[in-house]
Amino acid sequence: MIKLKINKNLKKGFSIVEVVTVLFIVSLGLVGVLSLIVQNIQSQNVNKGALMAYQLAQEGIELVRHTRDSNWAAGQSWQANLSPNHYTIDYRDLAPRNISVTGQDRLKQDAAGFFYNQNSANDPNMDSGFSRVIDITANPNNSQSIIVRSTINWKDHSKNFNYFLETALYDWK
Amino acid sequence: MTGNKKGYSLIELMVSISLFSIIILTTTQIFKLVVDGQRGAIAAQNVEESLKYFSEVTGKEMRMAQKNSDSACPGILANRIFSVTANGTSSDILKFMNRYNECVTYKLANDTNGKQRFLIQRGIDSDWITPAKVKMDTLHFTVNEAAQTQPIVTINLKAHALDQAQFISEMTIQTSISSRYYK
Repeated sequence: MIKLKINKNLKKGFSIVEVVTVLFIVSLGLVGVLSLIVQNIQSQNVNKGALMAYQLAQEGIELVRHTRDSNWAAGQSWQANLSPNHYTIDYRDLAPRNISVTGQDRLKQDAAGFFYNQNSANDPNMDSGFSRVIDITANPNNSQSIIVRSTINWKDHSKNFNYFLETALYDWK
Repeated sequence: MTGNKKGYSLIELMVSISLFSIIILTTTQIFKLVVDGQRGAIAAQNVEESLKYFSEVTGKEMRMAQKNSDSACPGILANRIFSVTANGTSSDILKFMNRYNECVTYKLANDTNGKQRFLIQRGIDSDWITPAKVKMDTLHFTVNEAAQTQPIVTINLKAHALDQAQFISEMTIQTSISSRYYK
């Protein structure tokens, strides 16, 4: 048996205060590094969502523009179907629809990956996580113009994000 | 060897080795987390930048596309702006005439390394628009050129970075472009 001999005169060692201080400093450093990593990963997801949202918001504006241009092509008033209101619009039926039911603005994704607004409640395709609302308002500075705002809302790690684009449309080509 | 009590006991050695290995393991794990996070961030950035560049390059050209009035470009119906044909299940081919009267084709094709990338052909020139480290998975177009409406094209592109499964950062972008051709 090996016997540990403790020299009673040697009282060297760390006091509890020293140990607590060291642990505190070390954990501060660790927490700093870890939170940096977490932030890095989160911001990367936010960027990804923002790029997708930008493209979808741009699509919303283009679809409203398409409605105005098609009004010209059909010989209608340029403002037909574009009276001030909240709408959904997608590439499938290319016409603004009044929002009457909550959740109608959700964008779904079909098997090929296309984003569209759900038409029926029993649509089997998956929710894309994005929703899009088109707000048309009268232009306060010009009676012959409308303001179109396309807003995308999405969620990332239970945080809400939104992105919107706004433009004025006129009866000009 | 009596009297020579210098050295470490077995228990002391075991305790110190286990403490040391715990500390080393924790620091390596943290280091790995940092490296992985960074790797994922770089992959995501590559995918985002190539998709941004893609939309930058294609958006304006498609907006300014012209009507194929004297059938100058083969594969497009007369008096139409866009033509879409299927190219396998994962990709479509879009054809149109740009504002400089060049016949343009957008499609996905395999490069010399067998990686699917976005290819633009203009007249006799052709080149890759997306980098080799990002793979394009699917490319779909939908065109609507019904009578008495403005032509419109919808683009849907899915891409991911070429890396290990946890770093691929898959992304789908979609946008629609209403033609600015009014004649």
